[in-house]
Amino acid sequence: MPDMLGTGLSSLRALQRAMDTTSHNIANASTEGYTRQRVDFATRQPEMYGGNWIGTGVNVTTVKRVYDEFLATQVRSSGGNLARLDAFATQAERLDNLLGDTGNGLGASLQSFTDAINEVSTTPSSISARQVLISQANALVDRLKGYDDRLDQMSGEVDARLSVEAADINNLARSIAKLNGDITVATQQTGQPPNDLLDQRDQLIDQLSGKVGVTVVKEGVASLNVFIGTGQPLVLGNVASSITTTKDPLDPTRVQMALQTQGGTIDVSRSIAGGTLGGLLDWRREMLDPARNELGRITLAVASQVNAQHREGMDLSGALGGDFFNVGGVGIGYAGANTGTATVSATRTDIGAITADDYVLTRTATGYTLRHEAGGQPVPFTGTGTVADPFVFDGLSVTITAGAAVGDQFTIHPTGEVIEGFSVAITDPGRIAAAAPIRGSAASANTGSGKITAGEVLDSGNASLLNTVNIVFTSATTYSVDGGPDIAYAAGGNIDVNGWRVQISGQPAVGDTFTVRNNAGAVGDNRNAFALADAMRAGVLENGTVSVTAAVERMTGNLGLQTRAAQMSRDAESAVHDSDLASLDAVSGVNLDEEAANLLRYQQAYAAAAQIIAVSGQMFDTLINAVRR
Amino acid sequence: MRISTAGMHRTSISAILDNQARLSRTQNQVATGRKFTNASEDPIGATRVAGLQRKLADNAQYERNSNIIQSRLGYEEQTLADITSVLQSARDSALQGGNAALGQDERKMIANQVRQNLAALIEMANRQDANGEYLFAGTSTATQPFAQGATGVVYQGDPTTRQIRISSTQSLADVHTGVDAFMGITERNGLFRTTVAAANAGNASIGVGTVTDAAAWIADNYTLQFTSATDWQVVDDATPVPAVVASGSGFVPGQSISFRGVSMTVTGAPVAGDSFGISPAQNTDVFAMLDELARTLEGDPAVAGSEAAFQNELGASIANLDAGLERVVRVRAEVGTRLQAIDNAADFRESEEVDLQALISDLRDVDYAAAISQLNQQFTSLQAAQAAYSKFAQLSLFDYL
Repeated sequence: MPDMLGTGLSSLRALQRAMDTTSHNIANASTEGYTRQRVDFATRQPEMYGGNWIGTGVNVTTVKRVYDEFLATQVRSSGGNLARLDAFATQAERLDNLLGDTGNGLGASLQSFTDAINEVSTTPSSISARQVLISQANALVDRLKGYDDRLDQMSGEVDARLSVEAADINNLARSIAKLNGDITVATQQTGQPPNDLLDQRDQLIDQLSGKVGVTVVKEGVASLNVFIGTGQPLVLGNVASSITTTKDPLDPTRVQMALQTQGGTIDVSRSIAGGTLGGLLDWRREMLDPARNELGRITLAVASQVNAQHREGMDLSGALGGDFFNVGGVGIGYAGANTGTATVSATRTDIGAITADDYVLTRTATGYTLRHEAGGQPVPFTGTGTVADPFVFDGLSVTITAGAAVGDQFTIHPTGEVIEGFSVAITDPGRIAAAAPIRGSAASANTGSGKITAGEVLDSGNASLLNTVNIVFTSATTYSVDGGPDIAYAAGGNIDVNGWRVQISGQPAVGDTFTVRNNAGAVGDNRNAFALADAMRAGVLENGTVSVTAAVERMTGNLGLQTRAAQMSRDAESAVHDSDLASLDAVSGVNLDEEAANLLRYQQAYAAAAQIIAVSGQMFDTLINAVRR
Repeated sequence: MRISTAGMHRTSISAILDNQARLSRTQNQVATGRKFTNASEDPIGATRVAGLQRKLADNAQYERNSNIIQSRLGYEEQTLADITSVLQSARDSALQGGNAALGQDERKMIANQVRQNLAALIEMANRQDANGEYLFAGTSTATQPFAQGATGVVYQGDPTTRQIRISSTQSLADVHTGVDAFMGITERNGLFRTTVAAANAGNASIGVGTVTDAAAWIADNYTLQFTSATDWQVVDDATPVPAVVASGSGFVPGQSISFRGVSMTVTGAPVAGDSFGISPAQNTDVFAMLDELARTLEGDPAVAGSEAAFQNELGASIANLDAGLERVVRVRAEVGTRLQAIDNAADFRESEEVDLQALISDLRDVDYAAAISQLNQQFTSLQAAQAAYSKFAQLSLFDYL
């Protein structure tokens, strides 16, 4: 039988739930990740009375989240992207701050070094100018080493971050798996959604997405499965896999992330596409490693340019100039999983062809394959790897000893270790070879108009380079070198002897003698210093088209471009994420004015429902009083 | 559209933060005067500025190079001027010494003067620059270039001249070597020398001679023989059998004798059997010139055994000194050309520097008018955002409950 008291009571109860929920909404208006909740009312089962269906009041059917799964997924994905781009851009800015200073970066150090060479070229006998050159060379070495150390540290920071984040990711995964279990139980037991638990789980997944980028797939009624990378399962129902950091098999100095599953560990470092970690790994691969290799390549170019020219000169003591700079060799890495015993050695044969790339050499059943470490494209090469017939590619010559097992991998870093071994080989200012080692001169008794050039060095290694050589004209059209056979004279033609080259021009007379001799004692000779200064401006990289100073500018410019692009992507993604967040907020966020109105509404309804109880009481009194009379 | 309270706050705050970031960037530009400090802020501009700055730095270095070479060339020019006057004074002495009225003592006094000139010349040729480098030693700048040897002054430097870069496209030779400046000068008229045979009985002397047709000259040793006081013949000594290449008769003193493109004047009266040698010119140097002049004036019989030979030698000395003066003048002219090239390069550098600075300024420097008006605009919009936020944050329905 329907009764007003019951109806009133149902209303009071329902409105109380509604006001509870409103209070909960107000209380959590500022809670991160909170989704506003709403009470769904429904009429109770009507009853048949006196031939009519009489309503019996109201029931709360459910308290549910006002939630749009599509919008929430968008927020999660743009959040993961933003975290990735933000990490990338932040790191890129650090690199840009380090190397992109247009006023006093590496370019300024190179300029000072070149200026110092010029000073030696104008005052070759000045010990102080020579001392300045050595100081500037050391400053250049320090600057490059400083950069290299800093870049090495940055790379190490990424490794350290991977280890720390792995633990964090595991915690998140475990919490999500536990919530999956709790939510399933709660839903099954009551048939009602455990709203706050759902919010908590969403928030944890968002955090996870901000770290590694995830894909979420719903399973059953209430479980969410979480995948990372290219679909590696991190959370399946209430079971979480765990992430560990292991050594990179190709480069044991580095760490990589692996997912431990029942089937074994899977490397996910290369497939992590989103989140902070994705950004850091992308940054290391796309900016840090190339920048480091490029620095190495520039260093190599400076050192080889200067050394090659310096070897062709003569120092104050009359000795041939040796190397000016020492540089590190080609870096070779052995994969951790190698089972063979082969060793690899590599030398640089053509500085102009050296690239800033790293290579991986792999032993196959039939021979060897070679590929770029980044990207994995195959690299064409010639040779078989023996000492007699080495692998030759990109300016490198590589030999490998016997004993490689099939599947063994070797990494080759042409420029990676250049800076490590970079130093100034000269400490004594007198050892700077500013002079040329030979000079040509005409005998004072010559009566012809023949003139001889001062001479240039073609092969500084020639053992007879410094020997005195007389060129005597046996007739007006022939000459003899040190009493040798007659050679036809061509004015201005090259005369190459003992690793040097001179030209004689004009019309020498019979008996005229020209002598090429050791240039020792010519302390004011600047020919080699002059050539050194020119070498710093000559093209050496990219097959002789780019000078070292231009290469520095280009590297700085490229880093700037990449940083700018990263910042723009981040800003764009930030706008996308903001708009996604606003859309989700529009649906799920708490509006306090709305809650105030709801509170007012429910309060009034509650007062009305209370009146039902009062009226029902008065009706009862009226009836009793009528009967009592 | 429904707006959530937290969302509204977030949007407002982020608008304020954005405004602040923009304002801070503009403020930084105004404070530093530069549009960018890092390459990422304007990668293209930064790369270009770096290239332009490299050019400026290179130019600064070229200027230092130019200053050094300029001072050395200036010093060379000064020294060459001094040497010119020494040679000139020696030439005057030679002319003076030729005066037939002078006795041997007076000639010796003049010779002393020439000796002093020679000492001054050696001192000048051994001058050092401000860095203590010998100016004329080529690149053996620590070696004194000229020293008295057994057979005269010898050059101890080397024949190399250093090049100095004074612009990206131009390099310039530094000071001349001692060889270039003072040595390897072809004596007399540049083609041949004449001598008076010591055994001549007559008092005839022979002049330095002139070249009328250099192409017809064959460089051999010749003898001009007088078979009588009026008949002469020129014999080429070089051929296996000496051959007469020219002859004449009816000679009168002061007449010039020509053969194979050269001609020379014989003064005084030759007698039969007198002969004069004519041979290809040799190389000499300014020091040997003075030494020879001095020895001639001193009456050194090895140089001039007779008055006729003395007159011949004196004439030769004057011709030599003329050749020496010509050499020094030519070297001075070259120095002048080099100094001119330095000035031209400096002019070009200066105008290039103005261009480069203007380009750099265009690329990198802030346009203050634009930047400050932007600053004001951003300031206003930040203020507006803050004011709007503070007003709107006060609005709440709860205030009316």
